[in-house]
Amino acid sequence: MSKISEEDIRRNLEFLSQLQPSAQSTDRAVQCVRRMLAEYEQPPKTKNANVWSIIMKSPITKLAVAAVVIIACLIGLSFWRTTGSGIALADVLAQIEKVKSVRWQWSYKVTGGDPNTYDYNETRVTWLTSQEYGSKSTWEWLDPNGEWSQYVERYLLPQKKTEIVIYPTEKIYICQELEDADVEQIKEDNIARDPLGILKGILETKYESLSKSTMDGVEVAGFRITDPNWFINLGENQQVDYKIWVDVKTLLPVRFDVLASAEVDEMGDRLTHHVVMHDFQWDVPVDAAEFEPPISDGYTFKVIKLPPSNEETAIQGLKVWVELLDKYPEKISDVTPQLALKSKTPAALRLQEEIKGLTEGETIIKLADFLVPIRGVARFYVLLVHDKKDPAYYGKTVTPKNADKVLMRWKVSDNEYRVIFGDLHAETVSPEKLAELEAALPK
Amino acid sequence: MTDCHKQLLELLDRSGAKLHALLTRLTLHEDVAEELMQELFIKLSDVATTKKISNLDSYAYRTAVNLAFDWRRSNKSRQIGVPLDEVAEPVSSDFPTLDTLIQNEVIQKILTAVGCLNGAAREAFVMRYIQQESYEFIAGQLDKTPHQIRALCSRVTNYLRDTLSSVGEEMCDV
Repeated sequence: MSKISEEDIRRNLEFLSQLQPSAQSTDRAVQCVRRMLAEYEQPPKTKNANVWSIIMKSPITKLAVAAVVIIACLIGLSFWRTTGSGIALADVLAQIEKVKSVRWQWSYKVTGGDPNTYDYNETRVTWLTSQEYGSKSTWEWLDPNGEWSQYVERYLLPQKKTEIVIYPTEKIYICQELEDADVEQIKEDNIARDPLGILKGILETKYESLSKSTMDGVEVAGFRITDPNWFINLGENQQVDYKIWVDVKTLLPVRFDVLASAEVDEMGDRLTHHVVMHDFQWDVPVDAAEFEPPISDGYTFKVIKLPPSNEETAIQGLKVWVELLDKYPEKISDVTPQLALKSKTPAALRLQEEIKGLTEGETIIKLADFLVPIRGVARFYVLLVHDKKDPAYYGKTVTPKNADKVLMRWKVSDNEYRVIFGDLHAETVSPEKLAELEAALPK
Repeated sequence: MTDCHKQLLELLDRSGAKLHALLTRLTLHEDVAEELMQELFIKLSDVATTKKISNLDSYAYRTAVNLAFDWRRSNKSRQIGVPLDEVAEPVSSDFPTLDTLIQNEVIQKILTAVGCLNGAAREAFVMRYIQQESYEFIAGQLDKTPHQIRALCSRVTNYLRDTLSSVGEEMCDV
């Protein structure tokens, strides 16, 4: 079509502004709403607080963005494990499985929403993963002055059963001991090897092939997924456009490009997330020294030991949530401190008082401790998902006062389910009894 | 009937026709605008029963704009546009009809490009150029100064000029 000038734009906008619907249509619309309002009594409805929108509003952005990775990995587990049939992509998967190490860049940008409410955020990460040593990632964010600042280095070291997070600016070094189950889970699910995990998930879903093209002088074939349910849940009315470009000669990916948007408030404001994985260096030589976290003078060391993942831990974590919120969190995977920092319960106010006046580093350490029981319950749930124990959690509707309602359940055997009730007592029930209990859940 | 439903009925009496006109202008389909009106008031009802809305008119307006652009995003097939060369030039004295506008590719492209925007920029632009509201009125609705609204509208105009000048460029992937 012809080029559109500013004059064209203005003239057409004026034309559009003069448009009036027919009187009959307006009358129908108004009368229909009037009738609906006269009859309509909707019970109070709360919208899912989505993890990413909470994170983006966080005053403790650095800590929160680091949590994004943890959450994304945890939630990703459910589909990373899947396998399926495919032809071309199956060949790509086979190639990736042969790779011993890979380095790549990951960039993330969020835009949209009300600028008065949401922080605009841009982050980039360099990843290095090795089958032998584990993974290392260096996180940088675009500060308000437009400069890239490094704020986190994260090491996942399965052989040493540790995860280490370093905050260079605050000079903090946090070491978390992992259980055998955690390590096995990491190995099995390749959390640190995102491209492999993602490819496995894509093979399970519906994807389309894109025509060949050239990217940075390399001939590539593309694949595209638009199923909004396939991606991590970002909010209501999610839309996803996920493209992967593969070098046709090596059959290895050269770029992953994700655009995902979702509503983040009741007015329908949307946030758009743009994630790109690029600059892949497959089978890059690695040195064991690269996986030795640097230890420098003047750092504060903090060792965190998560409690074992079991029912008792889960109940302890849920107790902490009740103290902090006077209810259960809507999503059990919510391991960020934001809910507690906004709550007005005595326990939450105590926490808020305790971190008042602390430096950013001191706050990180304080919250790392604080998150232990909450992470315990989230991790227990993820392990249940991982082990296909058919878990479910109903914190969105069940409260501490619902002593006989199912708050959380998981399968123990073919004939038994374990149930944690709203008052946090636990029982083993038959599948039939569970069905009966779940039919009585509050809507 | 609850207080919140009374407030919504008052809003319907006060601004129902205006909101329906807005939805029609943004979707270019009367039937869709009628459906979205219902959806709008269902959303408002859901929200108003759980929290206090300080400026219901502004809230309704923003929600309507978001609903309309969401519909456009997910119903691209209903956005027919004839290339600019083939469409009759709009004449300001003519009274526009839906048939002429829906066939107008420029208007479809403008709406698609505006749909790619988010937040205050989109709201201010739609209020100013599609609803013909004054800068002062928009500033009051969006809790900004008239100067900020002028700047926002100017930036959007520049964006539209640049975006729509790039013939063949794909807009708004998501």
